[in-house]
Amino acid sequence: MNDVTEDCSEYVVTANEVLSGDTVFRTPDEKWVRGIDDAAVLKCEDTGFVALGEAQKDEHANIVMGAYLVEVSRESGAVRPVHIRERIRALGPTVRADLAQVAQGFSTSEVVDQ
Amino acid sequence: MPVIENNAFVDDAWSHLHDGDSATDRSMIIVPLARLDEALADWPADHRGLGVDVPNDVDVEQLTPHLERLDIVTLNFPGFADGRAFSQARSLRHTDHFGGTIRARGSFLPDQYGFLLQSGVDSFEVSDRFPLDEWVRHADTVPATYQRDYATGGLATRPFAEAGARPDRPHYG
Amino acid sequence: MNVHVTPEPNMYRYDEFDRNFVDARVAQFRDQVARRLDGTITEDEFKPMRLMNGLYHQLHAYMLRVAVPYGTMSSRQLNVLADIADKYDRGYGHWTTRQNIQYNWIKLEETADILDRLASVEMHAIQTSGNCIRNTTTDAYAGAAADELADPRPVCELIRQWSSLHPEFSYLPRKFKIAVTGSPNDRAAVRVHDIGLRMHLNEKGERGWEVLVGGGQGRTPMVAVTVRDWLAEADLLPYLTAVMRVYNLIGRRDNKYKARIKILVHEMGAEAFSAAVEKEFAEAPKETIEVDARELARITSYFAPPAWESLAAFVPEIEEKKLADRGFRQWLAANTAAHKVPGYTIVNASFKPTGGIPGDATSGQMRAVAKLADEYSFGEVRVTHAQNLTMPHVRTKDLIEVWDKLKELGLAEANIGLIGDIISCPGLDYCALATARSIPVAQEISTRFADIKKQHDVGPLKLNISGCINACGHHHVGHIGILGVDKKGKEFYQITLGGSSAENASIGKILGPGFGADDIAGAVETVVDTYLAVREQGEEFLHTYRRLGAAPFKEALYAGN
Repeated sequence: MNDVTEDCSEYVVTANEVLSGDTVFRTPDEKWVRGIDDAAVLKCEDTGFVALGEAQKDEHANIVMGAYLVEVSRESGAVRPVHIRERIRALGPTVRADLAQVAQGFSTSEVVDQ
Repeated sequence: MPVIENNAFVDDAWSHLHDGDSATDRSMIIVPLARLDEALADWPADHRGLGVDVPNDVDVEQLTPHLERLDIVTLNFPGFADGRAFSQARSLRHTDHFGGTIRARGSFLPDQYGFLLQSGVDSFEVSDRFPLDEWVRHADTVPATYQRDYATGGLATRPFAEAGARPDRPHYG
Repeated sequence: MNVHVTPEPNMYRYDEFDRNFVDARVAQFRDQVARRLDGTITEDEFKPMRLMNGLYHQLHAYMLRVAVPYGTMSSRQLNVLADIADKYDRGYGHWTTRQNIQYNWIKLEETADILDRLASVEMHAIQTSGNCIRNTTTDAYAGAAADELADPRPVCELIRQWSSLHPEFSYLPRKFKIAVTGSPNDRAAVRVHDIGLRMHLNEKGERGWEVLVGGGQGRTPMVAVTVRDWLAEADLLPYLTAVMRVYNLIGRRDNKYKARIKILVHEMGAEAFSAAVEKEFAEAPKETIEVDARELARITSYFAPPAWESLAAFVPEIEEKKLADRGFRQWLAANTAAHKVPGYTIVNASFKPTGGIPGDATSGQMRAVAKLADEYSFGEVRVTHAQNLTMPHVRTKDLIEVWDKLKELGLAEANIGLIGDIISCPGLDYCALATARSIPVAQEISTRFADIKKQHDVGPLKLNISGCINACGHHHVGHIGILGVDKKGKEFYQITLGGSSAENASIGKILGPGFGADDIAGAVETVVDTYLAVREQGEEFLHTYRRLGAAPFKEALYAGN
């Protein structure tokens, strides 16, 4: 957290798209994308919960399901979840490099249909 | 609450007995199981119009001696995934041959309507969340059952094979 | 003209009734999806509905589990499973321990189309998940095994039909699994199922069933107890109905971890539970659900034995090849089993390549096995509970050809029943419930034991890995079991020893403190090396453990710590 002055963790908002089931992340302009690299990074849990509240409107609209906050850190500039479960969820199975999210081009912005 | 019987909304003639009310001299009244003995004791043996509301953790066998005097048993769904009332209904209908009304109450869903009918439920206390059509069409969304002796309405069951019948040839498309 | 002929194996076939039933269920599911998407029903309400039709939501996507009833399928069905993998998934599927297949990358909007495609070859995903009666499993060698009393699959099919969309038993306290064996050598793990059925013959040669209840794995592993030594076949469905009714009514619903029937049996005591079932069995009218002899005869007729050729049991060129080729000898010893008909052999295709993902199958492999089954096994294939495929009826004289072809496909690793034949759940790489990864551990262990000669020297050894306490990887009944847990955000692995799912079933015991991800494979190697050092001549791992207990293994792993 070299560029963060406040002494708190960073978060992204994640969910799954109802139609595809895919893991998606919330962008700064309140869209959903499949790549975590384009997620809005939220400083401190309080900010996170505000964004999560907004995101949950899309649950009621049946666009996504199960929105929640994921704690992230910066690794060589990239935003990556702290916990292994969330890392695998964001990046794909560790045993199939060919199926990793990055390998599928989801690291660039692919906005989920809304 | 709206009540569905025979795939139609009906006027509900029954009311539930509330705490403090007396069951005596009432008719078309559903009493809590805990007050059934009291109600039965108060009522003349030939008096009709008595029902009982049964929680879903109760063995319905305890109703067996009284079923002759009961016109309705109401069963409960505290949540739609809690399926005990299916077996309570089946036991009442099939084992005890109860001929009165079995009514489901609580938070069951239209998708369960067919299974409820097949298990022996014939009256449904529902909210106004779903229109009547949504309930009725679920009576036979799957219009066939492997459970010959649960089949209700127009549900198809497999005809028994003729003795010595040979298997069909494959029908793969 | 050289036309590829697809033989039709003798297995159950849908009649018009079955077809209409499955088609209606697909249409019902399509309708349920539409109501989920238009908001008529909530995700909480939809979830049990989709689960009852095999659709989970896992870590990355929806996952669809397709039923392969009691593990039996035709090559034609297997080809369709391959097509589905290509069209709707990412080119592969995963054989499960309930003899099913699951796909990891399914879209909700395409699921009903997949179900339609399945229905076109008499397959479905009904009750492959959810708190209902799941796919009945049986011996993968059913109808072929030299040691079976009779083919158990007609009864499995009867149970499949009886349990499909059962109006009374679709909202149980928890999932419910039934396994059936027709052989005294239990390859169906009946003692670790909610209900296990073991076929027996009486002195008149009539079939009856021993009923075991209350086995299971998960958080509280238990070995089932016998509640009936002998149940006449005609009473099978009424008796199962009685068990289900007792469970549905009084099984615990206050805590999902205590909701399986094993907890009820345990808390009531086997005798009281059995008495409750017998009472229900005696009181409920059963004339209409008893096993109708005509119905069972109808089903049984589909499972008529294939048109066996009259063949010599002894094939000189096979014997010569055995002597000349160690690789063939090893494959024959591990990957084939004795057939009931002379001149035939049961052949397993190993989906446990060294360093590979246990039980994963590409669409290409599926099609290749389907083709082999057409050529060599009457078009019939089985899924085994150890996540491999079986061709049940191969002519012994064709074994060299079949071996060569399986080798080309990478499906001839001579490791069935050995340490390389690891049962593994998908673990944290795919599963939303997992707490640690399983597959990488399996990969590293199988790589360490890549030397097939060493695997054969070690002998029969079942190594099972689960990525969480729910025990889908059957670690409790592995001779060596590994359970992955999350310890302060790090993957951590416990070792259990001495489990078995066979007729001598037992639950493995935790050996001691667990190991980190970097150390678990080495720890397993130490356990195996210890066994090799202390075993008696010809003694299998499980027997050594039962004879000596945990002490030598603890000593080797933990001494000095």
